[in-house]
Amino acid sequence: MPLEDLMWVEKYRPSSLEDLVDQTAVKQRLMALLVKKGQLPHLLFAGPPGSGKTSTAVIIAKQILGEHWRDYTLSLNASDERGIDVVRERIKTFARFADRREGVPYRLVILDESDEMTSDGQTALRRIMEENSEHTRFILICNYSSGIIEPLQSRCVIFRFQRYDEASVTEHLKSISKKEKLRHQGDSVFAAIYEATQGDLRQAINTLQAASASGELTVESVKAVTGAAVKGRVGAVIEAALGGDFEAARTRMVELTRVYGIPERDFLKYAYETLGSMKGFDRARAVSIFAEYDFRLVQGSQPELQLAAMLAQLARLKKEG
Amino acid sequence: MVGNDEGKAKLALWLKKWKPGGRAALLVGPPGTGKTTTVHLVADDMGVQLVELNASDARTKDRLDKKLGEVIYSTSLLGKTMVFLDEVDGLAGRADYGAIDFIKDAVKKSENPVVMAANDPDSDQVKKLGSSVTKIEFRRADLQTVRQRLEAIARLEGVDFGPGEIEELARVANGDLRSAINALQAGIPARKDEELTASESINAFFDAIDEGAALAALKAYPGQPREKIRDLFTSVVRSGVHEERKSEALDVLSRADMLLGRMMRGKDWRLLRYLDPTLASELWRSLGDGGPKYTMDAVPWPLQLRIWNDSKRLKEIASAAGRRLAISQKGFMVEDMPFVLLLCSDGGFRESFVKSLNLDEGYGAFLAKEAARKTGR
Ligand SMILES: Nc1ncnc2c1ncn2[C@@H]1O[C@H](COP(=O)(O)OP(=O)(O)O)[C@@H](O)[C@H]1O
Ligand SMILES: [Mg+2]
Repeated sequence: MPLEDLMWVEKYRPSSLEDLVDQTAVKQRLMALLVKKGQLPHLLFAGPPGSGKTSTAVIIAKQILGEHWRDYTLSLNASDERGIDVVRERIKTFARFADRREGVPYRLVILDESDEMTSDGQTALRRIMEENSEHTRFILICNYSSGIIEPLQSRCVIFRFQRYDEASVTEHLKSISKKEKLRHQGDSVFAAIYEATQGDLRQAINTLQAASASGELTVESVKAVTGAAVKGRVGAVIEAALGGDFEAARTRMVELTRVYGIPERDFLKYAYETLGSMKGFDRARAVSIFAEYDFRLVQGSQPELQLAAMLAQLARLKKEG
Repeated sequence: MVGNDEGKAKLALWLKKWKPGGRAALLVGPPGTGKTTTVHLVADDMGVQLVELNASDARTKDRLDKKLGEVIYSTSLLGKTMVFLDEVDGLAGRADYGAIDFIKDAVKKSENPVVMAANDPDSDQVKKLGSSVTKIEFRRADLQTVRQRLEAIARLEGVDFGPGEIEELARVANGDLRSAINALQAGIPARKDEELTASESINAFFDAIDEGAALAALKAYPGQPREKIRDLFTSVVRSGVHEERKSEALDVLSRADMLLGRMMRGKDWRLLRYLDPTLASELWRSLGDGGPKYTMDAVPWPLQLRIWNDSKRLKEIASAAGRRLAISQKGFMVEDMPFVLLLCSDGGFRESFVKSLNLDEGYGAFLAKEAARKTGR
């Protein structure tokens, strides 16, 4: 079985604009733009993870370029390939080739997580966009459009993808459950998945699949899975720290960053997100510790040291408590 | 300027003699041999204004034409002007298409002198320029010259070096004077006669009877500042020091690391002189009696082994799967891997997964182990 069928996020990836759940505003505007393929502007997709940005970009590529879309599409992921050199080399070489085949109006560059690119890289990109706009279009994808330099933004039409609400997520999960013939407890299960994944459809589908692996989908099996997901595990680290157990918190943090390769910046971000659902500590102090160490992490040279120092401060809240 | 006075003199002479229709000058030599600096110096000396384009500018034919056309084809009203194209061997074949031909043509017609620089004498671009240029060679400075220069800087900065250390630094730099000076500033060879091993120095710091002794111990540390902070950190964090003192000590180290980060980014090594005194007073004081002992590993041994053995495999899997699914390695690791590991406790899924990515069988066993760890079985 190919990977695409093995993982439900891929198996149920929408293959046309009509298949897209929700995102009505995005769909309508895109369909209007696609009427005149030849005049498509550069596009910027902004929105939270799992809101369908990458899927939509691929749909557009297929729709415009037809069956040979892979040959005329360059998909890059800026968090894997950052920096000005890659932009200059890979994109530039690709974008400069003017040759195309019948029915292929231009080449397409899809640059995912483009807000992770350095500003030098973005500046270089801007130039390449300008110089090649006759035969190459760009789709830039990011979480926050504020991470994209202004001159780039102003050359693109911006589409904002919304976080899915509970009703759409539930509906989508139910339709997958039906196709996979899952036995489940009913609505409480989907509520539990939504609660844990908050409108991130990728996470929701992953959770559904993992939680039903044992055969039965229950609230308990959902809870077991969400505890094992990255956010759940980061949450456990913070809970241990706030409970005063510095050493346990620290070694688990190191396991996540060094074994599972979660970047320290992301660790801090998830940790802060999980703080909201925790209780029994001086919230104002904790928030100011987060703020301080977020700054130090960016400034400093050794992220692991900075996170360890932060956990030690959080552990102290308990003692002073 | 050192070592390439000859190059400088040649360039000045070329410029003095230059007339419209004459050849361009091309300075050729490895990075760090002073080509760019020389052009600027000569231009300054002779009161010539530079119009400069380097590798970071897009240099297609059209661009060059737009930016340089005016200077090249007309006499300037502002006084003497010289065109400087740095790193011409960086002109990418397809990307900067037509640039070399444009340059050759421009050189022929130019009303103003054109000077270029390149690193690689054997590059296509340099070959293509052929007889339209007068080459001036820049060589790596010889050992003697680099050493003298480093000694002069060390004297000016008031830094002491042990016998043979500057010699060693000069040798390692292999004629790249710029990198040698950077290394010197970073304090890399700032070893003293009383140098200790890392563990002796760190232990002497923790055992010091007063701030003065603590400072001396830090100064005798053999490595770079970053390693020093790292060694202090691992020793403190693994020690049995009372929690409250420990969190205070970690706060000091965190601030020291922030200072270091700023210095590294700004290449502003002057601030380095505050590092040891800060650590000696604040860190040493925060620890009190019965301090830590030197430890190299930040985590217990079993976890250290896991970091070495398992993280690489997980990354390989994430990047293989990510490539297939058009998601980054990081994205797959964060968004999908935890679920995949859970699903891998099912033998059927695991086998299909390994097969679908063309991974060898070793990965199956590895994933089984990780899955068991995940599900807590
Ligand atoms: N609008 C949607 N309709 C149907 N499925 C969706 C939609 N948005 C996301 N998904 C599901 O979530 C997965 C992740 O979506 P993706 O396009 O990768 O999101 P993003 O790029 O915004 O992070 C897809 O494979 C698909 O299964
Ligand atoms: Mg995406």
